[in-house]
Amino acid sequence: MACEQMCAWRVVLLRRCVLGLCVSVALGVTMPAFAEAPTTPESRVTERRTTTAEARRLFAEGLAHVDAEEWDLASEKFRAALALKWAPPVAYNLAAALARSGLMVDALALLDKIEASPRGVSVRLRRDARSLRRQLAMRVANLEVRLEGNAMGVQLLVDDEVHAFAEPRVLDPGRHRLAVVRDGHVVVSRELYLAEGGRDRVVLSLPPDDGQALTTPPPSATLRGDTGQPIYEKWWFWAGLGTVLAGGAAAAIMAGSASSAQPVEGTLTPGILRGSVEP
Amino acid sequence: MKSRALSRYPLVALVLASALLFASACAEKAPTQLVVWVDSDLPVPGQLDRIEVEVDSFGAQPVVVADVETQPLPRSVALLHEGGPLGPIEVEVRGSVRGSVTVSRRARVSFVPEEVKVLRLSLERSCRMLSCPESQSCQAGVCGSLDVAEDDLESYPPPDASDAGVGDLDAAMP
Repeated sequence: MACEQMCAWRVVLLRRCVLGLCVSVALGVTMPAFAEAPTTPESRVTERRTTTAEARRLFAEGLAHVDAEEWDLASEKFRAALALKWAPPVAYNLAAALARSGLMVDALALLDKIEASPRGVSVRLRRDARSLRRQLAMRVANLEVRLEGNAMGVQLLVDDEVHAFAEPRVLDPGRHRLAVVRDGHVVVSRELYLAEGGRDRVVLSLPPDDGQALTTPPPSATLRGDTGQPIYEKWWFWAGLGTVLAGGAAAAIMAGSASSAQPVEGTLTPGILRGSVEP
Repeated sequence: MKSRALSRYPLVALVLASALLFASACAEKAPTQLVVWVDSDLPVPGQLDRIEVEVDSFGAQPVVVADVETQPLPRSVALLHEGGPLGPIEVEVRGSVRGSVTVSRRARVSFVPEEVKVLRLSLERSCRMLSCPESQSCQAGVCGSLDVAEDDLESYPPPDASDAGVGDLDAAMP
């Protein structure tokens, strides 16, 4: 409580951090053991205090960079603080700073880690982390890569990191470089720009090779019909949609004319939240 | 002729039954609702580009998210009480810019039976970047109680309502 009072009025952009760090310190969240750990209990306590003080210093520096909207520098400081001492509030701040820098995938990984943290996460922090996660999940781009041709012995690199072909991958919006490598040589490469929240599919044609032909895995993320035709080009999709819309419109008209006690609707979407108050 | 008239009886009965149903529907009780009315004095989109409304202990879809750049504030969402106790429920509105929450406002409130009440929650510049203890919320730059009494709820529609804040003002009036 003393910590809460001490920290509650601290004005920072990402304001839960101070409280969280104080809570972490107050609870005595221990840091991982060092490789050269001191042997006596006293020296261990001293070491721990020194590390905590250093983590707090780095955190404060990170906050100063947040105030200046220097997201990369803020991320660097928060990372350094976390390297010394894991604290979910600091991780939340790092995730928010990374998101501002456009590194949403890294931010999502951190938010997942916060979600999985068994302790040191207040209800409020958990809720904020989930909220940020939802927002980022909508903003990241999804990419599916398929290969055409002989894919025997090839690797797919996305931004110089090896990725599996089969799964659609979540990437930060922006420019990315795809490369297919065989025997250490790039056989196909392509640059592409992914929009925020976009779902893209790229087909890379490999040059002929005398090896065994290998088919690429079937697409799993893109919504497509059996024949490879997009679902929105199927007649039954539009027929079904038309039926649903017509039915919905009819139901709405009937509901509207049946009662004068029609509930008020807001301008957000959805305009009405229906529910029962949980006792 | 006679048989033709008789053949119409079911139709007449159906029409009468429909009329009765319609009449009973007209006599239906007024809904028990709380309209969460969100406004802000923060500049959009410089300091506010997104709002979230979250309702605790109420139904399966407690979060509503909106981009305030596309449609300006005020915005509203109506909570329709369908059963259980009248409250309390906790409503939180969060404002964010470029993915970071910068201001929030919370309230603990109860429904008023068979009335449509308005809960105003303003995301205020004076509350930006201010952290209140868990049991409090910021209003006019000061942390205070979450509880909103029935007397503090406005009747719907609020006096300054415009089409911006209410979906269909005339049609929605009970």
